[in-house]
Amino acid sequence: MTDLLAARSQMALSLAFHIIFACIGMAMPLLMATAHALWLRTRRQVYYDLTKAWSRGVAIFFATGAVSGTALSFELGLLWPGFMEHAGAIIGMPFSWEGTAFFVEAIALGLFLYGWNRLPDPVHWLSGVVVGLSGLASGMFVISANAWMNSPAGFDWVGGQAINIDPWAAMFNDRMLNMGIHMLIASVAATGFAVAGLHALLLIRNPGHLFHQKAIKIALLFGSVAALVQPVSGDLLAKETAVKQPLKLAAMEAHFETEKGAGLLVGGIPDPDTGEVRYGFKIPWLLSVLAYGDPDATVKGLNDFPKEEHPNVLLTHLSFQIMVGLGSLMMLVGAGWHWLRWRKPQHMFSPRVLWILAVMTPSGFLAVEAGWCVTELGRQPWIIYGVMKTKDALTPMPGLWLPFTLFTGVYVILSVVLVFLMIRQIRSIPAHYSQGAGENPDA
Amino acid sequence: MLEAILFFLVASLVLYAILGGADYGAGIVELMSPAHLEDQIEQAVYRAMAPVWEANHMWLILAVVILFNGFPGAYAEISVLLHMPLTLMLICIIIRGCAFTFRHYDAFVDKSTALYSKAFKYSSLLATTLMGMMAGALTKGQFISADQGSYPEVYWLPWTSPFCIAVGVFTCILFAFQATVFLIGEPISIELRRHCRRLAIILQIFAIVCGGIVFFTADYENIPLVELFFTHPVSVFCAAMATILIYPLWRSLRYINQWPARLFLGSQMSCISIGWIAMQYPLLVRYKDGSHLSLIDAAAPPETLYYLLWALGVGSLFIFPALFLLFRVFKSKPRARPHRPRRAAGQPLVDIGHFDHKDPFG
Repeated sequence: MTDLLAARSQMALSLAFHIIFACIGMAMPLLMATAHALWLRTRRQVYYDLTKAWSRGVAIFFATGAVSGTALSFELGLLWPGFMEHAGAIIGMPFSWEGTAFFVEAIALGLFLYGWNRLPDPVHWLSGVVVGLSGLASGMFVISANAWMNSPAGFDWVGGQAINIDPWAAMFNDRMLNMGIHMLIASVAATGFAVAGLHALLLIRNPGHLFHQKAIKIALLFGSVAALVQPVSGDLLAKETAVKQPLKLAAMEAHFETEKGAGLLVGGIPDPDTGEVRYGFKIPWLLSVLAYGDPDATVKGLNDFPKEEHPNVLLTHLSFQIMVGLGSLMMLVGAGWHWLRWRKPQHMFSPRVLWILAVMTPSGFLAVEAGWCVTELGRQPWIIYGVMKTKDALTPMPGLWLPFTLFTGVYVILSVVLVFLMIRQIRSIPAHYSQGAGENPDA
Repeated sequence: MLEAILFFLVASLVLYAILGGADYGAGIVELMSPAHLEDQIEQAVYRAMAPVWEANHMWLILAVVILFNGFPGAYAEISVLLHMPLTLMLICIIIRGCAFTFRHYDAFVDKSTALYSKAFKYSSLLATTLMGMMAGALTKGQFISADQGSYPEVYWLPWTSPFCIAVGVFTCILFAFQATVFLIGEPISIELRRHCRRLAIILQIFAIVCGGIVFFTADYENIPLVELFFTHPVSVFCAAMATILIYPLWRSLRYINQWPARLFLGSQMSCISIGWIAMQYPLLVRYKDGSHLSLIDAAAPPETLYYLLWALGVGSLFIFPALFLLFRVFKSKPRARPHRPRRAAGQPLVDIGHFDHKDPFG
């Protein structure tokens, strides 16, 4: 394993691990605050139980996210000092805002988790809302830095040095808004579907349990709305990518030859050496429409760019397909379930429907991971697009397999423990929160 | 502008040493406690730490962010030279944060709880040691640039000398001492309080012995620690203050009201950290060949510093009121307690018991 590969793998692993907790930290407080608001309004035990149960989950995941995020803030420098040396002064500002937002989030979470019976109800509820809002804000700030790596702004690169630095322009770069919004929506969709799926699984085991029914209703409302809005955000993002990073779009689509009225490739396994795609089919003109809003538009192909600047086409394309596929599936399931709830409420918790929801549990998070693979792999070989190559930012320290092995070990163990912990949490639910079972489910 | 940003950097480091330090120390104190007090001390640590540990931890993130935004060159160089200890420390931080949360939030209490507990204690100890070792390495200042030495010479030897280990142990003792003082102020049983007091005395003795060892190893490794120290008036002043504060700290430990004790302890820790920083300032990394990296030279261009200062200023407007609320809610005596007769001066310590915040008569 080369040092570059070890460093990239460690970064990928750390981000892939952290992103799950970051998503939960952003979206779960919204669900929790909704349940809490319902409890304060209705004073029904089931909402109180739900708030309590969800806040336990938030506590566990937030702690994991906080420490894995701390690790990341160091790893940027540990692995890519060449990047941080230059980028720190340019794009450090959103990180300092992110630090503030995260600080507020941690404080608000402390107040929310331990504030029962100590804070007045409105303040207590507000602290829960602040957890969510500051979580979303810190997500936005971090994405701003990532967007800058894709669309560098706010400096002039002269002779290997950045001059005329404008942190404001760097932070509000062209891609910040669309990328940020896409991620925030994704976090809500992923968390909503995961929570709904887990409760669906539990509802299969304990039919008629009001606690889980309410949980599914709240979680799927957030999840479905987010999943349905996401394509709009995705479309805006794709159009932006077409202009800003045509090479990335070409890799996402495994689009080798420049073409007028290009078709959208669905599925398929591209071979970067021959430029052929097997097992896929094309929908005529659609790529041109999606990229430029014009069926006759010309979409640049990979072969128009020097080979050494190509990202890994196979992985980028497959990740993109997975993301879009899962996103569409979530949209379908979310819309379908709400149609059922509206037209045939007697079927919304039928075993078959619950199984579908249960199978969908990891879908959102898989889509999030795939989406990150698209944007990160698609940017390679650049760490700052068009300015600095990833290999030039690498730390001079040899033997990077050692930190990589250590981090991998910790994250693998931690993942196993978290799954174990969640199973135990879930097992304890019937014992802790059975009061709701007697209530009328239709109320 | 640079001064203002340095102020924020030093402030977050000092606050991390005080608040985060007490959290790390809690794990070490647990490690130093006998088995029959284990449950009690775990509960006390949980009650004291749970609502605030994540916020306490944020000071480190803030310091890192200021460093890499305001002094990117310095951040990059430290990241290279201290790669291994930082990696190990991060792994310990991950383990201890997770273990601490899992220990409490696990749905059942069984063998796994004991495992989380062990993980929390040992990773706290190791993280603190590593932090101290890195501080030692920076003080020692015999780094070798990445392109001028072999792998062990550049990446392992500068932070693993006896002096660095001595500083690491010293840091553990300091943080553990802090934790005992903070714990004494929590509502705990007489038995536990007695144990904490005994531990505080033992740790104080350890600190003196270990302090001696630090100077001895410095001498052994030809580190001009004494000269370095006495050429910086701020360091001398801070050291004097830290020593003087021992007396009021010990006296105040005898009283029920622990806020003076915490205040004295906080001032003492600030003195120690500021004294250390003053001794280093402005040189962050000193190399074996005599060259050095100054924090001032590594500063980002003025535009960046300007925006960073704005971010810090506006951020403070959010953070401090929220932090005040957090500590007020969780660290103040319960408001519903009936009127307490004014304590006569010098009243000895009595157990204030295990009170329930919900119960007005608790």
